[in-house]
Order: sequence, then C-alpha cells, then structure tokens
Amino acid sequence: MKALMNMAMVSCKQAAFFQTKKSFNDLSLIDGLKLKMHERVCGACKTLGKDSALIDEAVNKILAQKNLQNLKLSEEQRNRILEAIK
Amino acid sequence: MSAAANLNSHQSIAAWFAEYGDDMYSWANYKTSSKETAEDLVQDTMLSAYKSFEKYQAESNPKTWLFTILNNKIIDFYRSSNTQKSFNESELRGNAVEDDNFDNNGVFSKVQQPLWGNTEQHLLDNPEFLSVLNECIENLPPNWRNVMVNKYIHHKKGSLICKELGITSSNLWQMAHRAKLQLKSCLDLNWKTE
Repeated sequence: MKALMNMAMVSCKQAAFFQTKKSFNDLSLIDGLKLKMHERVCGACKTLGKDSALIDEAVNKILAQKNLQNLKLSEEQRNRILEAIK
Repeated sequence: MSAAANLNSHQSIAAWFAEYGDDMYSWANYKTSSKETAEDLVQDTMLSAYKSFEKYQAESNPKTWLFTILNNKIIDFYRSSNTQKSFNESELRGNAVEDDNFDNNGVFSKVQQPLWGNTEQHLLDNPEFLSVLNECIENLPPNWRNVMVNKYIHHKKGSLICKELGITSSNLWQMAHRAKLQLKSCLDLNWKTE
C-alpha cells in the first residue's frame, strides 16, 4: 500500500508538467490519475490548473483574432524593405 | 538579366509589394505571433521574389506566387529556429523559469494567487487582459512561442508539431510547459485585477 502511495505521489513540479500535457490531450491514463489525486490535496496546483486552462482559452482567442487583424506596415518598415530589394 | 528586364522586374516587385505588403505582413504575424519576425519574413520573401523573378509566369496571380514563397519562408523559419544556439538559450531561460517557480523538492516556492475568482468569462472578454497576455506571448523566447502558436492556431497534435519543428517530444513538452509557466508569471506580474 505504501509503495502504491509513493507511486501515486507526484511533486507540484511534476503535476504542473502533467497539466501541460493534458492541454495537448496527450496525458496517459495513469498520469491523469496521479494529477487528479495531487490536485485533490494541493490547492496551489488546483489554482494553477484553473489558470492554465484559462490561459489556454485566452491564447486561443488572441491567436484567432490575429487572423482577422489587418496590420499595416509603417512607412519606415516599407522603406526598409524597399531598400533591401534594391 | 538585361538592364531593361532588370528594371522591369524591380518595378513589378515594388508594385506588388505596395499592393500586397500589408496582407503578407498580417499573415506572417498571424503565423508567428511576432511583428519583428513577420517583417523579416516579408523582406526575405520580396528579396527571393526579385531574385527568382524569371520563374514567375505572367499568367499566374502574383499574390498567390508571393504567398507560396512566404509560406515556404515561414516553414524555413520554424525549422531554423531550433538551432543548438537557440536551444541552449532557451534551456538557460527554462531553468530560470523553473527555479523561479519551484524549490528543490518540486514544491511551489511562492503562493499561487489565482488570476481570477469566478470571473473567467469576464476576463476572456476583457480587452485589457487580452492585450497584456498578447504582450506576454510576444515576449516568449522564439522556440517556445513557435510551439504555442503551432499548437493553438493549427490545433496540431504533439507528434505533428515535433515533426514540423524538428524536435523530440520531450523537448516539446518541456518548451510548452515552460512557456505556460512563463505566461503565468508574466500575467502575475503585469496583470492587476484591481
């Protein structure tokens, strides 16, 4: 039982790493369970997990917006590029 | 190229640049999340277009032709961003980020303050919050940013990203993980809820 507990215990560092893998849908079942157990007893990791999920969503939104963004090259940038292709 | 043809190609390229430059810049910025990189890529594209002007066939659409070159430049950019030097640099920064967040036992070295209470939707619609996060993304080391951008805009699976960026999967996890920690630290520092 103790050996089993030891196997199930992961550090916060490890748990945070699992959270990232989870966001890529690439976390194994066992590691997923370890993460769940850890988050149940560790408030800090639970917080980070929530933050991490929200950062995911926000990054997604920002990058999607960039697709619709019409940027304009400044006069200075235009001149720099024109100079380079002379 | 004769002098006349040379002049002709230069005029065409300059005219195309005037017409499509902003579109190319916007696209490159979307694909790399870095205005600086985007500008370099547009410049490289125009230079390549000028040099290989004789390969351009008059009946094809110049915009399509330029975007083909630009997309190849973007792929090259991703491949070349994983040099040993950039890897070493991001390794150093990565260790710093981890040391900053965890102690030797792998326990958080500072209290984790949530970025938000129960106001998640509100934050996602908050332009100020998004603009702070955008700054944070643009300030990530290039390799880490590439991993993030590839994940989010292309919704690619880990294995595919590894192939395109020419990195191993353990590298990918490590970079993605550190990028995430860095974004969180950056938000903790720059985003004030009050």
